[in-house]
Amino acid sequence: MKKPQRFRLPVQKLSVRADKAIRTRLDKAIKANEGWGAFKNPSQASVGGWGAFRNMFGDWGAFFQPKMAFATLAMAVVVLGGVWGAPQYVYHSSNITKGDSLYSWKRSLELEKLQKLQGPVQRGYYYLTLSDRRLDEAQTLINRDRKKAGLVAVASAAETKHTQISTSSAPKKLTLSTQKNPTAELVAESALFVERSLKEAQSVQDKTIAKTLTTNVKQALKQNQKQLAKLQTIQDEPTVDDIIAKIQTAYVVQERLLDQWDQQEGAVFAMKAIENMPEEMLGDEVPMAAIMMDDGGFELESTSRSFSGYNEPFDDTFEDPIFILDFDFEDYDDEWEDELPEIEEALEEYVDTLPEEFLQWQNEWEDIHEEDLEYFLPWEDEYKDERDEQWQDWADDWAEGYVNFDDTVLLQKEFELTNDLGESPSVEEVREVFETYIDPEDFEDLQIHETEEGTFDIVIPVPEGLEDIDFFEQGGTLPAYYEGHEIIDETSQYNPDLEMSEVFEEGSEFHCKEDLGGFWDEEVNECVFEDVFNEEDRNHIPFAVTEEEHAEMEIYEEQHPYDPIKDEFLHIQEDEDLEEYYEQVEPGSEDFFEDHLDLEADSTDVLEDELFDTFIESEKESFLEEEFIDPEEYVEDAFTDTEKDVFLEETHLESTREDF
Amino acid sequence: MIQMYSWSQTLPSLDMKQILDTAFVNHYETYKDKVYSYIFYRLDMDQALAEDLTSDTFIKAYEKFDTYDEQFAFSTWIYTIARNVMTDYFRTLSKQRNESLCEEDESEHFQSNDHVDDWNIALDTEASMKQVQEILTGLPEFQKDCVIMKYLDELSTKEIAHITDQNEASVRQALSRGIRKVRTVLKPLMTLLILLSPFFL
Repeated sequence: MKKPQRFRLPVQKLSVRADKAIRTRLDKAIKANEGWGAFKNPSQASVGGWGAFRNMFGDWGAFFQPKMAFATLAMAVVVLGGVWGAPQYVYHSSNITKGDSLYSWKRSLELEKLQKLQGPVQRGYYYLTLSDRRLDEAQTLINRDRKKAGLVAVASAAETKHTQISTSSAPKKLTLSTQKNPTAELVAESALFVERSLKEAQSVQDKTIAKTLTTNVKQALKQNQKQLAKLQTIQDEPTVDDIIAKIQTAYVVQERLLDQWDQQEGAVFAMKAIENMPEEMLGDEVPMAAIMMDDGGFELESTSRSFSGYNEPFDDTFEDPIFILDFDFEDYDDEWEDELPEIEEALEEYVDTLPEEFLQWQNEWEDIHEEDLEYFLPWEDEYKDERDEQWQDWADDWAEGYVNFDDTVLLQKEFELTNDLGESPSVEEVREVFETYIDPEDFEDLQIHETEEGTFDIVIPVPEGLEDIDFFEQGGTLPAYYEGHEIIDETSQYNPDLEMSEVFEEGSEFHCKEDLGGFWDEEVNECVFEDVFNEEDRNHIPFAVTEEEHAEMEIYEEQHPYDPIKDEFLHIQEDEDLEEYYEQVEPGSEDFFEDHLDLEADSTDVLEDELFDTFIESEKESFLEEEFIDPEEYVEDAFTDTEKDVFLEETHLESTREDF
Repeated sequence: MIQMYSWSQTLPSLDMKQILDTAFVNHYETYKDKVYSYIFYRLDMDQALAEDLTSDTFIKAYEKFDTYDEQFAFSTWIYTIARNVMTDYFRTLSKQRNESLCEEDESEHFQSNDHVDDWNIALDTEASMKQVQEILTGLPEFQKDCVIMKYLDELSTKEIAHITDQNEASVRQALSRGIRKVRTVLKPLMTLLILLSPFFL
């Protein structure tokens, strides 16, 4: 469909020299920037020995070499270190784990850090960090247990269990019972954080950053798998073993899906598409669509808040030790039909919201256009031009994608349908699937055109019988807008619940308001019209007029020429019949001028001269300025006929003279 | 002793600074011409000055990139910065003028730009530089801002309102009035095109 041609300002190219200069400045700035504070990765800090001490106290650590030690100063530093350094140590230490007295403090610090982060990207990365921290803590727990049992903590490749991960035989839902086992809870929590990070990636608008975040989620999945495999080798708890195996299965499939799908849409689509998938469409394989607790979801915030703020016992946050790994099974198998639920949803949304949007657009339009049109009189061509132009501009702004000025199209939307192999379906296939998925009553006359390979123009035409109605031709969104009519009234707002047949039935309220441009008198159930010749109402623009009244207005306007000097309409005779009046006083005659223009004149030339003199006195300066005539050189007598003509044309007297 | 594994230490792509630097450079590539055009038109087509302020805009944007909220479009953010950079520039200029009591003829900027005449007149949807000059001259500052943003990058009313810190109704009104002027200027050209169209067919 051809779009209305739009004015564009040409984009200027930045010169190569300037581009180079900016790049140089930018490079310097990038090199000078050591990193944004909020993004410093806490796990990079060293937590052992002198390095940790230096990290805690910064460069001042060097001051405490034995030779330079002073006892009092050392004491002060110990106190200060206690205040400032202890939280740092607690936060960074992976030795503090679930069940330790400092663990709740550690979690509070994590929460504090999380709350300071802005935007989904920072949160997404932080969740990955948290996932890693949970696994570290799980490992610490396992090591402690082994030490207690007198075992040596060893993890070597030779001892690594090779878990067979079979995605084809995975059940549709896996319920993992952590059995209040702290290690199992930490491992499950780690998976939850990966899933959270994936969810954050969905809300990132910037595709570059979203893509990077998704890539990192994928890498985190790989690394977590390795770490889970190591954990499996050094622990003997069947509960933990079971959870690790299942999470690994989920990771493998999710990773494969992220590989398979387009990176830009991958993570988002992986999460979204599966939510509403019918069960019969689900295949054997499963992505990690969502991991949640069966009580409605895991909340880091509430968990951590309970540690620090409300002094609740730690274990209360895991009241119900059951986690559910909610797998949705789907084998995409490069089937393009898989995208259809998304499209169906989008289409239905458009159709559902259309009436509301009509109403919203109409209200907006009424708000803005009255003020802009007040400078024009409704019978002037400029009024109509201005109104039409404004409407089109406004519709472009507000209704882009819905409004088409070329055809009688109610809704038009372009979809690209290709599968991962780059194959596109035929028009017949698209139609077939649309008819299967979408209620045919809604889209009876659905038209599908293939604009180019893989791209389909799906057009929903205007309902039958309404093609000739003006407002559809004008874009199909404003029932109150008609060619030659203007109805601005609260009651004229579009009522989406009303049947179309009801709307246009002759004698109906809508017919009165929309078609005839009148107002509905509820007391007598009749259509009434405003007195358009009421002098006061002339300034109230717009007001409702019928075609007949509009024609009468035109006659009225012809007989009441506008006098630009007096800035008013010339009143000939309001109460008498105009025809009779013209018989008595012929326009252009001496009587006419004397009676009605208060001029002593016997010809149109004299009238012009009179008006011209008046003009010279009042408007001379501005007129001369506009016409680029130097006032000092100006000689009244030398005013040429051409200039006089310009003046007469400007003041509309030329047409007035012809009328006379 | 078990070797503790931390993916964040071993994955180079997880370096947040590196990611954001790359993202910013990508944004620079995408928006450099648009930001330059915006400043160029806004400064009555002063090429040298527009280049300087474009440079300042991107450097400032980089310095503040960690405050950029990804939920909003980058264009909205960068245009806001460009606008602030220009405001700062005019403020400084005004101060300098007051101090030196030296009046500068603003029209010099305009006349010194020989390149303005070098632009080809595009006869399709794009306006010629002469027309642009005609359109933008005399428009109040706010209207000028709105018209440039609307017709350069097709920003929505909402985005323009966000950038200019005005409400949407004001922006719509300013646009409506600006558009009227655009039409006045373009009308003769369109008429000429219509008249000449049989010769091209």
